[in-house]
Amino acid sequence: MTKSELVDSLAEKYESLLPPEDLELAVDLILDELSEAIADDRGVEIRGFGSFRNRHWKPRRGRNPKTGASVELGVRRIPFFKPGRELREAVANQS
Amino acid sequence: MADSDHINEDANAADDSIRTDYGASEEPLAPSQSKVTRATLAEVIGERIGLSNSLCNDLVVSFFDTIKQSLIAGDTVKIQKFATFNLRSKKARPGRNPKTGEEVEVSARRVVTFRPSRKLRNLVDSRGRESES
Repeated sequence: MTKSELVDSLAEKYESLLPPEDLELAVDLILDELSEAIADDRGVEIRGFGSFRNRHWKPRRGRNPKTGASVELGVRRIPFFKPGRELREAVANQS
Repeated sequence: MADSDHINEDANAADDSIRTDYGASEEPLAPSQSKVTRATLAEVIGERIGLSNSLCNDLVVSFFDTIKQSLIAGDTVKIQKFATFNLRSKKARPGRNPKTGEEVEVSARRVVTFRPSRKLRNLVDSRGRESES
């Protein structure tokens, strides 16, 4: 499923309640807020779906494996997703 | 943690079944930063589009449900500029009950993996640098 398929499927469901443009805007607002919250390290927790948290690496010196040159690696953060129990269990038993 | 991970960022996300978080820590969230939940997202929609609270809540619930149903059906969910949710099949493997030490088989299962888009990774990483410097 792509984003546009997601929007289409929701637009169909909410056809009688709001115009498709508004639905697309709503989806964009959700995604923007999720991205901003993750970037600000506010933490996101959606019951039954999962939570988003960042993993942090402390700054350290590393090496470029090709040249062997020493490089400074700053603080790094990478977003992680942990599926919630409901999602995990629902997905686990399908093959 | 391989040094090449920073230079070739894609190496990190290429294979979700490999743990790439050795040495990483989850910093505690500041108490003032309340977690974002469905309610927060519904509020944002309400403020911007001016819909009723119950419709906003409904929309947010449906948004995550639709993604969830797609994953349960075995379909990858690819949200441009945000992330891809993928499925991996895991074989059964021997495991242990951590409480009793008893050996049990971990059954074959499917798991959801998450691969943030380049845009999201860059946003998260650059915001992190700003706040630490």
